[in-house]
Amino acid sequence: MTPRTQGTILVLLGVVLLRLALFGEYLNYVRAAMRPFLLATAVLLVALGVVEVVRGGWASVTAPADEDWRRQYVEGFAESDAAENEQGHDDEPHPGAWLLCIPAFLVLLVPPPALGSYMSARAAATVRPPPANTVFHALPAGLVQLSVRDYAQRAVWDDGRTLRGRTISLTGFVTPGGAGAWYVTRLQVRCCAADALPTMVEIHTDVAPPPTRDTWVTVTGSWLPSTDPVPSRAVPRMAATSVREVRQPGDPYE
Amino acid sequence: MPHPEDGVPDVPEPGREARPQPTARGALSGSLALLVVALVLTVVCRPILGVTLGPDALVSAWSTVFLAIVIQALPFLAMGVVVSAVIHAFVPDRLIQRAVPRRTAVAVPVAAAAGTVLPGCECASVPVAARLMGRGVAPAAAVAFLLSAPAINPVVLVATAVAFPDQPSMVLARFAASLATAVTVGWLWSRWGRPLPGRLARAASATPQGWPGFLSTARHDLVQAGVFLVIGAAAAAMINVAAPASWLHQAASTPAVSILVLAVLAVLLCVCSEADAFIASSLTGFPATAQLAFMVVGPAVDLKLIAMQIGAFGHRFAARLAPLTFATALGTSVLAGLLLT
Repeated sequence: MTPRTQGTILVLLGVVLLRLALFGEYLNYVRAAMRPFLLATAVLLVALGVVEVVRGGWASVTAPADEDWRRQYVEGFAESDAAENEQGHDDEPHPGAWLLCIPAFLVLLVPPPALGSYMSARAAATVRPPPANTVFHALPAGLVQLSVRDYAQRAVWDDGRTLRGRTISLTGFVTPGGAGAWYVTRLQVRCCAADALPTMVEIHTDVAPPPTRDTWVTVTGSWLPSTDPVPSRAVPRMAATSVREVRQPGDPYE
Repeated sequence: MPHPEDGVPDVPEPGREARPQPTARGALSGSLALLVVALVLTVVCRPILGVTLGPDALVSAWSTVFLAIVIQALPFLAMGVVVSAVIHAFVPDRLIQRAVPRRTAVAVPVAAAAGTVLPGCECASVPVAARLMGRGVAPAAAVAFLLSAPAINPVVLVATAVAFPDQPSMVLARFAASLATAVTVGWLWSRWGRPLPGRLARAASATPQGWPGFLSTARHDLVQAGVFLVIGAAAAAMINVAAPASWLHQAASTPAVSILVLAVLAVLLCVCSEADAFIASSLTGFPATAQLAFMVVGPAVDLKLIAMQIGAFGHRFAARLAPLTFATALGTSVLAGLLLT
């Protein structure tokens, strides 16, 4: 694999990164704050790749092949990986470099979708404890839109104290449960999609049949106490009065 | 392995080519043509194939996690490689060599601390250490630098802070454990290390300087680090998405087992130090000390580093250095994990 091919692969990777960052698809994988860094990296990759492609054309015209071979042999690093940093070794095969095409081709073929029911179905529906010293303040009047995680923590770890008698709306995707039950789910992400962990709220409703898995919905309803009194084992529940299908939000993770 | 002790090549070994084949001038090389064809095919066939991946499929979840790790890590990788290439192409070795004191006992911690200010990709640290030794720096100090530069430089520490946003103690623990590893191994090496092969003193390794050197080094290091990032991300995504929950639970619930598992994984995966924090944080089921072990052991000893060390310093040198480094890194990360997380 020549420097020109390596340069082309870098350009490809840069262009793909540029596409993801410009059109918002990067939000399926990393946090919004990464955008400027992705753009900068994309520009760097494209620039370096283009320079190397252009240089690769000139190098084969100007550099004599003999001299490089002699120089390598005299240095005594001829067989070692360390010598790959020397210019004369650029013509050696670098078979692993093809692997670098995989991310680019994945995006070109079918940009992998945001994580969904496969990840949430593998996890338990119980709720992770909130950080120590968390205080759950009273909710404002009227219809309240809460994050799924906020609702779940208030429902299970605060015994629903702030939720009783309120109308709440949650947005998430559908994870099927056992025996016709289903959950409205959101994935919480700390760094990037790779560390995503789900939070689920079990929905009880007569107004609609269970939606298909991975459909994004906004559910409006009221708090229902959990069947298990112990918070570490309890599953948060909601009695829904309306279930409405919506589009996936730009940033699918909480 | 050829040993041109007198520095003069006479006859090439049988089976070794007399000279490398020159690439076709101006024309598309075979590999480039293949790449272009694959690209065109992908773009053209995509609407025909109508490939869709729903989020309920294992393949799709794996792809998303894999891509997430790669994309998250790339900016840090690129920054580390570029800064490292700038330093090695434009900063003369003399400067570094003069900054290191003569007495070994003092030289080791100074060299280890120097790693904080000189971002060094793992790929570059072995040649740099070899050059330092060639210029008379004590081997123990060069080894200490070799171990610290990839592990405690600013890019790596920032990456670790980003990967563990609600656990700042991980950054401190990583810094302390890696520094301790570098200093400990350096001091131990000054007592029990093997002498260097004679040819090292004579070989003036010619890392190319100036802009052409920077560009070649940056491209080469980016591609190489990128390849290992892809492998590491693929493996971590596999663990995340496909490993049965019971296995993970078993492995993660016994602290000693989980720490050892991730330490060995770090040796196998050879991920660049700027990226390993993201892989560690993706392994959510494992305790913090195990994730710390992954981040401390990885930049100090892995398959890629061992291969490079064998090439640069010889079998015997590497055969002693690798186990010593692994044991020390494991020990310091366990200690740091106990004290700080």
